[in-house]
Amino acid sequence: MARASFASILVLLCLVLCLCAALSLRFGAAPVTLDALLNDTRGLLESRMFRTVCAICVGAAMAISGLMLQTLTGNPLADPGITGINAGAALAAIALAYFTPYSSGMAILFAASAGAGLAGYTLWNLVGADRVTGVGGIALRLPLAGLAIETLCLALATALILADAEMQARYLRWISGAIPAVARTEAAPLGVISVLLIAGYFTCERLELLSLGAEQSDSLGRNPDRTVALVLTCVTVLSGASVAIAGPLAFLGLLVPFVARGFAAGSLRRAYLFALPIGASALVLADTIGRVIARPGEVHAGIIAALLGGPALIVVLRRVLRSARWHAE
Amino acid sequence: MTLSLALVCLVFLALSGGRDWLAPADVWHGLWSTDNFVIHVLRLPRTALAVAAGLALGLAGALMQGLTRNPLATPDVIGLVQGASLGHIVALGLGTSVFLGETVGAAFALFAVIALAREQGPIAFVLYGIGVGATASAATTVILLRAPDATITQMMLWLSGSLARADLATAGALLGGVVCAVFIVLWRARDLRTLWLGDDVMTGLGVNLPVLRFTVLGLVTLLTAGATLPVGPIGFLAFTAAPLARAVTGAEPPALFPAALMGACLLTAADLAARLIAPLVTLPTGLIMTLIGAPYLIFFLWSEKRMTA
Repeated sequence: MARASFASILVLLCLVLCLCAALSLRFGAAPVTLDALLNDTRGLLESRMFRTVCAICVGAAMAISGLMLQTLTGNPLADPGITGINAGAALAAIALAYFTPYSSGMAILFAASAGAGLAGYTLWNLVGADRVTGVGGIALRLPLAGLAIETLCLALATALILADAEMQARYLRWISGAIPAVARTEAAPLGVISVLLIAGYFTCERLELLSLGAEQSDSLGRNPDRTVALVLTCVTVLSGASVAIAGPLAFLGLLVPFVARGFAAGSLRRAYLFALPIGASALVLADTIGRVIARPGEVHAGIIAALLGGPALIVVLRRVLRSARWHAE
Repeated sequence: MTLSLALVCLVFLALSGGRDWLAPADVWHGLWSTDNFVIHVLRLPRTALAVAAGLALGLAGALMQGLTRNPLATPDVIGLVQGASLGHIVALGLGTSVFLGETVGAAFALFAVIALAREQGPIAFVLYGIGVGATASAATTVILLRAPDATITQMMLWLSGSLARADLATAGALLGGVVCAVFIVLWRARDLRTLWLGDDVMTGLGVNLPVLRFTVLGLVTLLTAGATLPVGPIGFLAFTAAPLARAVTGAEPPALFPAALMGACLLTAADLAARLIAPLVTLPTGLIMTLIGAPYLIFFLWSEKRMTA
């Protein structure tokens, strides 16, 4: 019974994703009829297709990166946006673009992943194994350390952008989180994301053991330090690649794992499989809405996500704090 | 005392420093003759504004930290500054008084945080504050993007915290507001000194808690709104001022006036640094404040971790 409902939920979520992708192909800044779109010669369909694929990959990557980070830190607030990992990636990418303009997509990917890694490493050192202090497992240190890292990195990145007119033209859009419509050199990050999303699934078992405690994990033959290193690498490269494509997107990694875990009934592997289509649908939908509500301009997906994400953070907090109080009583 | 002296020195340095350094004697004469362009039009308004806004934010931060007994609960961390910015942008769009908009925005953010975090302890308070702040800044960005281009550029500079558009009248008005706040603080000095002793002790000492809370929260809201109006949302100033002031002077926890002076020193120094680093571009002062404040927050967390370990 449980097995059947798991499969049916997964199929349903994939159908939702297909629907969102179809909407994203159909609607855009330019109101085009379906016939005109299919017989188009100006590459409109192609550019929308590319954009949709980017949104699917980035959305899934953000969701998985958030899910793994939350499981690793035992903190439901951990997401690549709040922890400053995305901001670290953005700063590194901007710095690379500032000092060596027109780098290849692979170089940007490496720089962004390195920046994300540095931010993630700093965060892990500040938060560390501080897993269950505070109310309901929400350690305060994590959002605070994240706030510091994020503000610092974004302030430096903004300074680098404002310092140069050409940088302004190229990156002011990117820094607020925008899905690209033009195929430039994003193919490499997209490939990296796909590979990591598959590989990440196989760390779920290690991660589940680690969340039982470091000793338990060790006694069952899984070195906890290696798990931490594996998962952190996975998280930071996923974030780096997403940022290299679409800029620092906040909050997607917070809300999607929260919803996915709600469906998954305690199993990390199920949550992982649910988070993939939910994250992808959410970002594709946010991107489509952003293109439609402000014709002929557009509101960037990152801003739509942040606008929904701020209240989402409050909702998540309320749920977690309430259940913590309920357990205490 | 040390801090007042430091502030006077810093103000003098801020007046003489910049793209061209002035000799101390020139500064002194320039202050008293109204025809010195560099001093009277360029540097004095900026410095006066930095001092006034720094005093206001430092005082607001220390008041809030004292009232909540939580070193993290300052207007910039718990979303008041972001609420005030949202109010600013909305008021500009509606064409109403900007100060009114900011006050309403800050008060609304404060109310939201208090209502959400009621009876859930200091951690929930800060967490909800971060959430409210994030929501407010996202809303600000959305509204901003629908504005005309010229407004966007102007507001982007304002949002990153800039003292470039300072004028003496605004600085004077803000300074007046700060003086009023100081009088209210002095009038309630006895009650405020007991802030760190706990609710029970305070009630025992005959402090009327609801009235005191209302006064302090009102003061914090007005001070935050007043300081954000001319200089934009300056992060981390209110948060760093009080602990730094205590570290320098060794004052007792509420340390309201040292915190205010430290805030003024910090903002004046940050503005001087912004002008010295990039004399020809308008480098936002808020950026320098972030470069000071964010590492301090990281250091704070790091040293706290070492203490518990």
